[in-house]
Amino acid sequence: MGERILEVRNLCTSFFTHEGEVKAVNDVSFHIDEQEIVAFVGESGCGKTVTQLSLLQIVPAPPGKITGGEVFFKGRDLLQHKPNSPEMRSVRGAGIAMIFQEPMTSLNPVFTVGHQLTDIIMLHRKVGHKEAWEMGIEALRSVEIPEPEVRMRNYPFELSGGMRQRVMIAMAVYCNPDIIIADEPTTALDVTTQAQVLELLVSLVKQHRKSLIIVTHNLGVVTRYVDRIYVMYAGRIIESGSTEEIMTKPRHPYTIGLLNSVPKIEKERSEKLIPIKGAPPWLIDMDPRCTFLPRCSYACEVCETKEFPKLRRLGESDHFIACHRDIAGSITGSTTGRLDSAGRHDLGGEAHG
Amino acid sequence: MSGNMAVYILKRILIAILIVFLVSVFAKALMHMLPGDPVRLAMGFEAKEEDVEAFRVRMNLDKPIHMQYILWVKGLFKGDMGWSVLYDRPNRDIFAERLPRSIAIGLPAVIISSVFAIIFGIICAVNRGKWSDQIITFLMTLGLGTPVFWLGIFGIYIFAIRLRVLPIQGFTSPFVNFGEYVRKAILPVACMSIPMIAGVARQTRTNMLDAINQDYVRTARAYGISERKIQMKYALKNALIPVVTIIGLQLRIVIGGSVLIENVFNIPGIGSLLVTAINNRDYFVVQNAVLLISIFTVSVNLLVDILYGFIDPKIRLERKGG
Repeated sequence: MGERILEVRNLCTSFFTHEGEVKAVNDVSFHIDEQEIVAFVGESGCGKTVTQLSLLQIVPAPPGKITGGEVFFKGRDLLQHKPNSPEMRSVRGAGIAMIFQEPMTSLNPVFTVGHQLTDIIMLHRKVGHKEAWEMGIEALRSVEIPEPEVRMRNYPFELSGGMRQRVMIAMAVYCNPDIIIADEPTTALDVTTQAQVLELLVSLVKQHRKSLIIVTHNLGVVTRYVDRIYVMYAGRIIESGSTEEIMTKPRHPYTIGLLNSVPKIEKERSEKLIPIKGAPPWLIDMDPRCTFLPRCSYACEVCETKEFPKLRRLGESDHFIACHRDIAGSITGSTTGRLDSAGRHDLGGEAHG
Repeated sequence: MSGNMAVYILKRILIAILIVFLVSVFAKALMHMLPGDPVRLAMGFEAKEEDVEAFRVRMNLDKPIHMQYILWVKGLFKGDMGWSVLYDRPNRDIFAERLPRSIAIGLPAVIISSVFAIIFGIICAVNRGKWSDQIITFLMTLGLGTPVFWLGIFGIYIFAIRLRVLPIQGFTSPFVNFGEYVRKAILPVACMSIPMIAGVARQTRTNMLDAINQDYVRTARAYGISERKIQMKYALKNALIPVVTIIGLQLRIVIGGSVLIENVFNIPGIGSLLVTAINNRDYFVVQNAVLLISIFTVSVNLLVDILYGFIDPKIRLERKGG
């Protein structure tokens, strides 16, 4: 791994609604190194996407507002710049590029694919229109889109969802950023294209020596590619560590529940998935205690009385959890994933999204 | 343009012709259902019975209604719009005289209102919630709610009677005296424009706000495109598509004239002609006016539909695909 390229400290983002302040991102700290691939995992609404939007300061405002924290990208704090400042805009795309969840709506319906690609390439690569067009064709070819010259003149609705997501990947890679953020890049696609698109994204990231943040609610799909995992719950990171640690030795009850709810292909059909009981907490006027408490089957007296636990390191490892208890010994039954002979994590490649 | 597009346009033209035909039939039939005898009205109740009958024969009013219809349409193809009972002149002359007046007021009104409406709509959307948006939105609501004739009277009172900077009413052709035309047209054009500006600006504002919240705008923002360019290029093109339809619908006023405006400002255009003709049961004027307005409206809609295809690629290509 190379140098630390992004260091986020105590990031807080809230949405100010009529009902009150929704703490979507609550004191989140994380980092990513050069050429590293990390995953953010959690249920819908846990704040994983808002965390990424906050890095680029493109949280819809109002009602969204970054209320605190630091985002050090290549040593400078991005939050010192105003959202629409030239400094911030120069980071978007060229420094950190984002691929969104919704390929169907993320491209502008009234401009051709080529038009949109060249606009962005011209902006970040400082080239003329003709050169940018050539680079656009090259970009489409690199994401394995057949007949790129023709596709450049197509409108987004003429392409399939998988094709559009490839266009988004091409756009991200050809801005030559240091980090690519892929927010649920395959969720909207059908199962057969999911694997192809993900494989393509990862191989391009590796080929161009970029860092990659994958945001997902489905651990099974991404584990084989990622170096580290951050698990988010109710706006906070509640567990983090290397992929192997998290997959084989999850220590937070929520992570365990998350892994139990992923289908495994080698298991008997009759074996039921174990859902996490209850629903995520309301993020307005949050309980100062552990947010997972009402759903936790390991809760004890400490959890009922003490405030939300700070992230703590487990021994000497890079494994952190935010839990009062240490449930390492009490993990029951079929919880964890396995590593196969190739060193890959195998939770079954199928998606349940 | 592909063959399919041509087929599509041809289909639309055939439908348009059908609509115009139906409108002409209804226009003819409707006036005959109304009580009142145009010949009696024109000649006076003291006129002798044989004179009235002679006039009736001359106007073809003695024939069955379907024959009257056929004779009317036949005449139209020869450029003969029939005779006006009320004005005792050929209809063609009346329309040739009045149509340019309606256009001279209506066309500038549609053009000016479209330009201002789009500008105001953009200003509002871009400054959403700020004072400029609130003031313009308030004025737009006021503009939509104020009756046109009241605006006209108010305008005349302020600018013509109090300030004495503009004439009270009337019309001068721009080809006769352009300066005088402008002075006389300012108030009617303004009064006609205000409700149109209000309607289109609100539509533009809503569409722009809608576009700005779309995912593709977030994408543009995430790739460092400047806010100005996002608004003026990426969002605007999407926002203007529905606006084109509304402006197209408003074009009707160019030829049909505004009845209220023409009456308040005493402009002898098509709008005031239509009202006078209806009041005097002058079938021959009414049927021609209705037909003229319907032909124009249908053609504008057709044009907008085709134009739509050029702005919205989805529609264009769906047509191409059949």
